[in-house]
Amino acid sequence: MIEEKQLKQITKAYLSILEKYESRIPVLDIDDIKRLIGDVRLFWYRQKRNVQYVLSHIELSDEVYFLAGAVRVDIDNDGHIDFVLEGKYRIVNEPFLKLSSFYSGTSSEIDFDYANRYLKDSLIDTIKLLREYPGDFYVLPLEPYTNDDMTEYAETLIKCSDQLLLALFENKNASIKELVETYNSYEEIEDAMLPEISKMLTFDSLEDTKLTIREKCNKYLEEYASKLPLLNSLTEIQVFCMAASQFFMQALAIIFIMKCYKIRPFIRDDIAFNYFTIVTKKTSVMGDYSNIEYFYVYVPFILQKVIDFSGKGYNNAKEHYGNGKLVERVVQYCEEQDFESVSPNVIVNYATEIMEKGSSLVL
Amino acid sequence: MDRIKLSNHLKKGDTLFTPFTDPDGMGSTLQLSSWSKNWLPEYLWIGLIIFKLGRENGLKALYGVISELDANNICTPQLSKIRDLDKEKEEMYWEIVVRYTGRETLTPMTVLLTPEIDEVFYNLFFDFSASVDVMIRELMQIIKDCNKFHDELTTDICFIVDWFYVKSGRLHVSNDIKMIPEALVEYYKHKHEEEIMRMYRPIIRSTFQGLSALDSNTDFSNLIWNRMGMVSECNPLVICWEDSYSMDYYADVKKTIEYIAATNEEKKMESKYAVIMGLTCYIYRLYSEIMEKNLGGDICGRIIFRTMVETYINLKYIMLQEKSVNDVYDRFKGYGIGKYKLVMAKVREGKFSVSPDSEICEKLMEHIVNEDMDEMFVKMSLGYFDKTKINQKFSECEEQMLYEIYYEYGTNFTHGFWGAIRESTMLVCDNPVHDYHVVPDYTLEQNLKSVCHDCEIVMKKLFLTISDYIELPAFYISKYVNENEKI
Repeated sequence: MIEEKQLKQITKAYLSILEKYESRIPVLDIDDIKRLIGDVRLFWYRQKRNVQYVLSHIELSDEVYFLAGAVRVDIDNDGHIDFVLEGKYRIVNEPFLKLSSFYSGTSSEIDFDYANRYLKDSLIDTIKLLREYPGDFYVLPLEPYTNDDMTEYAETLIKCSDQLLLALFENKNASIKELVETYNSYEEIEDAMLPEISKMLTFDSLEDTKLTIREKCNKYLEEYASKLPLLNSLTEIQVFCMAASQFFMQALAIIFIMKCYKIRPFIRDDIAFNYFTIVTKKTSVMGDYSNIEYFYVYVPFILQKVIDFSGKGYNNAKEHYGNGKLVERVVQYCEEQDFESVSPNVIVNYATEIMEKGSSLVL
Repeated sequence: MDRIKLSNHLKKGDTLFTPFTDPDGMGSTLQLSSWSKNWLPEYLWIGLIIFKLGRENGLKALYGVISELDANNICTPQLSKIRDLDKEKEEMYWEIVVRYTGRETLTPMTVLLTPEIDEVFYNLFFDFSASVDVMIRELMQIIKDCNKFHDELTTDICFIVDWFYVKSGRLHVSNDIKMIPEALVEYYKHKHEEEIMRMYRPIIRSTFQGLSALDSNTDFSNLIWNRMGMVSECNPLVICWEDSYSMDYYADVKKTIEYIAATNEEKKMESKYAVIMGLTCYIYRLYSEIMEKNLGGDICGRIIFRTMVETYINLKYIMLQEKSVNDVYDRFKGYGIGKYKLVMAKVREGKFSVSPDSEICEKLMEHIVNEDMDEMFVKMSLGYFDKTKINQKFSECEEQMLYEIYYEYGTNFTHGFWGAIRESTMLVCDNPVHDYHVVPDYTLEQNLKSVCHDCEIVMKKLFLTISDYIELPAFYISKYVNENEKI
């Protein structure tokens, strides 16, 4: 059973660290960022055993969701309203440990202005989230953050991601190096890939399924080349590998957290959800991942994408549909309808129907 | 090192003082000072440079650093003093260090010198790509390498500190003393393995000792140790004792008990037999539980063993009393039943409410109390049996060693005194920055040296004692009873 008291204590102590930097936000400079990152790192380092204890005591029946495929909840765009609908407890994967890796690179690899802006926004968002909605959201580092653990974790993710990437092609290459040496252009890659998978791979928008690999990769470059200047110096096959690996690794990281801690991901991002589906449904990575468990991820994704809960206000949404009430009802309905036959429209229509009845949901 | 004998302690009131703690002697003036506790944190940065650059390159770089710092009139080695410099001067200080050693060399110090302690240092040396655990590991290694004042890295640090004072003109060496200048000039040219270093090292260290107390700040050192303690994990060490023990003697005890049970039919109605064999079987049962359940290395093994010893003494004492008190066996039973009655009556009368799931079974106790006679005739003693204290019983039984060593040692375990807690449940932490504190053994890994051998001694004593009354099998006598002990 979840150790709620510990979870609250850790989050409270963490918030007090972030609050030390609140007054500096308008003028946040590199020295402030050094201090913030250093403070946060040491804090989690000291809390390592405590965090591990809390995470290892979570059960699936505790209904814990974590924010996946995003660094921050994004309160300004009502992300917290969508998130409060999920589960009984909601955890945000600690953002600053992750963001600190941006600052390890050089200016030729990283757009520091973008990184600083992102860090500042995350700081504002996290402080607001924990201060204004205490007890509704928590922050914990869900991925390894000590050097030894991180090395092993990164190696495992890369290895699994490489295997997934190699499996996309009809002719099997032994390694990514061999793959890069075999193909020279996006067209050669496209011809060599399994057609069904080629269609599913998108790097920017779910609507890109009909695009060619060249078009998809170009869209990816448009989106990411300014943030990751390194991309400009890569060959076509390298760009493709980098794009696909990036999203496969993200999906694998989500699955790693799910499997390790018996918590469910709340995925808002189309591409992240697409890769999550590819890995959980089209590969054997998740083993016996049940339909019902998939729907506990799928339903929240569809609901937040189609239904605008912001008009209902945070407290109203939380009280009437939050803490898993709406999602549970919709998933139950989908189970009754047989999961295989349920389309996004069925989910949205049923959820809308329930909400239009206007009453609170009681589970 | 020779230990101070008990006879050399001074008794004042109820305390035994060593000559060093005597409040009227050295104890009033003696102040203990530790290199690692009081001084090392001030010079950790020097150790880090030597550790990371290697001895030769490190000492060379530091010589350059010292010269340049001196030229800028900021030649001081203590971190607490550097921290107290003006911002510009401190920045200049560390930029000079960086020029000779590289920035990453001192990055691990940012784990300790956080902005609250030294903002200038932190901002200069913090590295986003440096991992906290790797930095802590490096610092721990240095602390391990110079944990003692006589360690080689410690002496290298002392050498550099000596040079800080020479260069800044604060250390003057008399022309009459040749060894100190020679050691200061020659030390860095030699490897620690060389014979000459056996002479230089003590000179370097003793020179340092004369200087270190001048500028070191123990509050700063304590602060750094606290920081280090907070960020580094405990490394508890378990002492693993062999937990297997030969069952041969135990098997012979079982055979002996079997023999006694089969060959004493004629005595079974005697009170004496009931008490002697009752106590014997109780001790045998305790011994059996230790052996069969492999409790020899457990805390309860010690507690059980102590009960074996105490029961054995009771038995021996009663047998000794028999000559002068002819109804001693009935008295012993009556004393015990009285003790039972007291507890039973309190439960029965509702002084305390006892759960039906408790070990206490009031009905059974009542039955036992009324077994020999109606409880109205059972008196209750609130003192010792025969009004004799336990240590006196041991003494009268000529078993003083059992009392002073085994029984007293076991008392620590039955009463949960700290010695027993420390030995069984606390583990020494091998992390040098934690000052070798002890930590609870949460995972229950610590076992204890087995009590099985001691149990054997008591069982042999027991059989020898009852052999005046109970015949032992021939195999047991020939195997375990010495010629001069034979009946």
